[in-house]
Amino acid sequence: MATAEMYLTQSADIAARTLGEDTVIMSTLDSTVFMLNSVGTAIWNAADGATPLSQIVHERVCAEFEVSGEQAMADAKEFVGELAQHGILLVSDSPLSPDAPFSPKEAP
Amino acid sequence: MSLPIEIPGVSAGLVIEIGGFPIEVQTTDPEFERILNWRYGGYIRPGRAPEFALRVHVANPEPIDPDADAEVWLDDREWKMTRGDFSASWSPAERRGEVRQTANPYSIDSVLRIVHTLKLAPEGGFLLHASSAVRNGKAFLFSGLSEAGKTTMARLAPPDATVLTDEASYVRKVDAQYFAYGTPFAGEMGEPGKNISAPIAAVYLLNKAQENRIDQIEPAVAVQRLLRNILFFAHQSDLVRQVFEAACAFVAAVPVYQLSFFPDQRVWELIG
Repeated sequence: MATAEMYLTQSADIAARTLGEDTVIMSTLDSTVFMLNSVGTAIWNAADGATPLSQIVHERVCAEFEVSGEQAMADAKEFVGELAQHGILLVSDSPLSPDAPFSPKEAP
Repeated sequence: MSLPIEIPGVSAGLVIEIGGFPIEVQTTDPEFERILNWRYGGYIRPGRAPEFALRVHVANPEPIDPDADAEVWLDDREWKMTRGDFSASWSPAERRGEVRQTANPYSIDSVLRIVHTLKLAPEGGFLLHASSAVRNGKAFLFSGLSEAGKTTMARLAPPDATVLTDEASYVRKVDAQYFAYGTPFAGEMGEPGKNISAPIAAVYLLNKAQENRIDQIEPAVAVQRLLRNILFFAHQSDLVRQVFEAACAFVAAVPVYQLSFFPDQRVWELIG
């Protein structure tokens, strides 16, 4: 059975800065601070609302880091779920354009 | 230009200058004025024109929750702040504020800390949970939360170092350079820091250990750990962004290290 695609976009309620290979993100809603490693940063930077997570993992993770597609996808879903829980990433099962109304997808 | 601030019925108060910002604290209560003189002695600047004035209304003691957190929010261009032991407001536009508290030094101390964090944020400065000292004309900050060793580092400071604070370091950006200022905000030492300033040479994130060692840390880690130690009380999104940007800019300009240390004088051989 095919798995529904996930589309990601960065919340507007954050401040973020990539320093070296890592990214620091701060929620402006509750001041929580997150730090992403290089893999997380790759996914974060590709979260444009239009590229499905599977494509991001294939092109930005598997192609750049030594990890199997299955493992990378499982890790990516866990990562996305955690950031989505904190409102840092917005997740939908359809593409998110900047003007489109947001219909949230339940975090995996 | 700063002008005298007159509040009807209240005599001119004490101008307390911390970090180069003179704030007049006005009161009609002689006991509270005595407390202010005792607490802020080295920071009182008679005759200095204040940037704004805080009028303190000394109230009778009421039961308070000692564990209550301070709440700070912006209400139509006026900052409101409250905790179990005080309530206060500050209007930057009108250059005045009001504080209601009992005659104790801790409430006004908290109000001043909050006001200074609000004043510093748009300018890229902040208060940091850190002790600090000046040695050879340069300031060194030792940052960490409770029990990290801030007061220990201040107590171990050699005679040629001048302690700025053992609790809350005042970081201000002046002409693209970061300076640390002395503060009266004391921790376990119970003594105000010396009222001087110096350019910041380094920040050390404290880690108690069996040996003394300085380690480089990645910039992202430095930002993350600094953000953990920066004092800010209001969670308005604009303010949070300002604090975040301030931490990033600071790390880009000032070396931040991890200092593993055994608590005796030898650790200062690595500093300065």
